[in-house]
Amino acid sequence: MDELQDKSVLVVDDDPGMLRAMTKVLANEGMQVTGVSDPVAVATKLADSEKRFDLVITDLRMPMFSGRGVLALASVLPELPVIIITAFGGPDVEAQTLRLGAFAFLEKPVSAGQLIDVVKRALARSPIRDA
Amino acid sequence: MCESVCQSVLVTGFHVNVIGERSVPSKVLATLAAVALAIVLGVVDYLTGREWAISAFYLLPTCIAGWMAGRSVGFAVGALCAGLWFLSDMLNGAAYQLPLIPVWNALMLFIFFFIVVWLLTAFRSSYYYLEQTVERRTAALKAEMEERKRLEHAKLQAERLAVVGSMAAQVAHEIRNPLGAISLNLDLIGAEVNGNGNPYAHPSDECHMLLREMRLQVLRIHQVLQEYLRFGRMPKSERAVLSLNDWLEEKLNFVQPLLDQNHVDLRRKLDPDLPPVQADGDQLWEALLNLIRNAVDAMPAGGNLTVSAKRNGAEALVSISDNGRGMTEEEARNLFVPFFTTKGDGTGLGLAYAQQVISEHGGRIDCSTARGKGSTFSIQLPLAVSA
Repeated sequence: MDELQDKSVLVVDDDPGMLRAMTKVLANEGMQVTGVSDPVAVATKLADSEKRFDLVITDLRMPMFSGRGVLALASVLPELPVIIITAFGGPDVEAQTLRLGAFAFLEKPVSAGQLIDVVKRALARSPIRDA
Repeated sequence: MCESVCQSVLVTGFHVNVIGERSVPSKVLATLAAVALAIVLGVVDYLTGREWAISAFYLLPTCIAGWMAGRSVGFAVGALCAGLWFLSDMLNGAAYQLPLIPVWNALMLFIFFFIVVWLLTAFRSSYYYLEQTVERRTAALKAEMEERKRLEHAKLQAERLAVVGSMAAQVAHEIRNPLGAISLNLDLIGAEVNGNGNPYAHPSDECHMLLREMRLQVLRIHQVLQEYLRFGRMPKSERAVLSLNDWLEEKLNFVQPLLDQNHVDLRRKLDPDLPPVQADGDQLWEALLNLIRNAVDAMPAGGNLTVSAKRNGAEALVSISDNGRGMTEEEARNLFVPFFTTKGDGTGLGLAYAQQVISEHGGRIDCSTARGKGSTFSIQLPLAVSA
């Protein structure tokens, strides 16, 4: 649990049930979780100089602003890993998002164990595929 | 001569083969009848004397012979009739100014018969030629219509599969969101009942059992969704030259434990001279694996599974046969229809997927089955161009 203690994570998902569940799982690991269900608010959160995130977890298909947009915003901040977690996956989408700079690509449903494992790898900056 | 040409049909009491050539007995019978009629006419001609002009009736046996027994016999009977007419004329005591007039008359009659027989047999030939051409073209048209019908059916099936696939994928995606939340919440409940690391928490066995059951159900939904998605978003095949024999040997070794576990005896009949095909090995294997799994399911008490591969013209023919319970007529008819399943836990997409893969490869998949005896799935794949 210590590796995740007090690490700050921004979770973006327009599905309130999924957002609540992810927030709770990560918070139980001692992380500082900021949950955002309105993707447009992501830019504000990321631009907030007071708040520095260690990690971003985002859904891919959302209204107004997609996970690719989140990826593009996050790419401005170096060393900020982004995990994509989506219900609308597939090999093509996975390859595309990884090419755009995502650290990992997960397809829903995931278990708490899987999520925590990927989060740990992301924070340790060890690419998941090489693990 | 081919079988169809020798096959006879009964036409007005005479056996006629399909190209219009009558059998030898029919010809002999027609010739005898014509000759007999000619002789009767000759006798009548003689008995009625010269006042009765019946020469036109000689046309009848001549035409019968020409039509039924062919041109040469027609000429011969025509000559016989001309001769009989001449003889009757002479025996009746012909009194012409010139002695050669009866000969001349008989010759004229023969020339007339000659022309009639010639025209008649020419007409008969063209009639049968026309009939034969119509028959041939009708058969070709019928074959083309059947092929077109098959292609239209395949196109309709492909379109239906595309719609079904796209809908299935959409629905599957929509379900994955709440399923994701349920999965995480189950883990949270699990942590909660375990006291979140509290060593003094003692959740009941019933609680563990219920959680495990719910996780299993989530996993089951997840697997079904995966199958729907696999069907709905099947990528375009990436084909390469594939040696079916080596590939099948390798893949069948992979499923051997599954077969052993189900007491299924695997028999391989792989033609060593089978040329390679152009195929996406991964997709093809998924299709074949569906067929093998179905075969295993059809033999709950074990049985024989035969996998064979051989060349069939410009195609490779891969067959998967089992001696299981076979299928009913209705099951066989709906075999490749998406979502049709006879298994309690099946999605009904396995065979539809297999058909889609094979079709994508330019091949075809067929099934023959007999209730209580087993089923055979035959896959035809075009050989690689260089083969």
